[in-house]
Amino acid sequence: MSTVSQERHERTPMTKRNATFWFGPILSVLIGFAYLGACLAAGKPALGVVMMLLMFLCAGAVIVSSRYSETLRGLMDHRDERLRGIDVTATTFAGTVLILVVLGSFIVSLAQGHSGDPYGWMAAVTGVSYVGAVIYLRIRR
Amino acid sequence: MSSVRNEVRALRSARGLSQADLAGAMGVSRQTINSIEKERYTPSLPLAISLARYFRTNVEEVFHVDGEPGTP
Repeated sequence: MSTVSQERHERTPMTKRNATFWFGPILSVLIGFAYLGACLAAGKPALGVVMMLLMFLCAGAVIVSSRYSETLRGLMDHRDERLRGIDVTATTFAGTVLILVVLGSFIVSLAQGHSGDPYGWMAAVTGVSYVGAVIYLRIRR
Repeated sequence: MSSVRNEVRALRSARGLSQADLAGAMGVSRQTINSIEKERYTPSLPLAISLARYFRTNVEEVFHVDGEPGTP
């Protein structure tokens, strides 16, 4: 039988879901509604309903799967510091890949004689966001 | 480049605790405890202090930094 220290640590048990946990599923539902609205505006209601239901399904699958996957639950509730770090690193990697794809698409678009839109604007927004974040964090940290 | 060793596994085993027990007490995942014990992951200062306090010792007794500047 395991012995547990009587000294109580003020940390929430891993089994309880915090508010951060629900951010992903709620975002998925909202994106689903956005898909529906966009497809309705485009005159494609059936496609909108399908896309909305797919997003609802994604949200539900993530919620159910988190009961069986410690990694998934940790990525969603951000309570575990190691998984928070993994999330940040993975997001940085994905962001870097996205930037390279945008820049590559911009260059290809220019080479084909086009203006480079919307890739140029996407790259510009990304660059400004990065500089702004560095400035903000430089002051705060 | 300095590396960090730790005595978490030894301390945990001496108290008859499972990784899940220690993870629950620390509010982290069992995977995190496993990674700490395998020295693949270095915990943050608050978690390192919490671990030391849990084992009723100090941080220097739990974590050891090799190649630390100023040490032989």
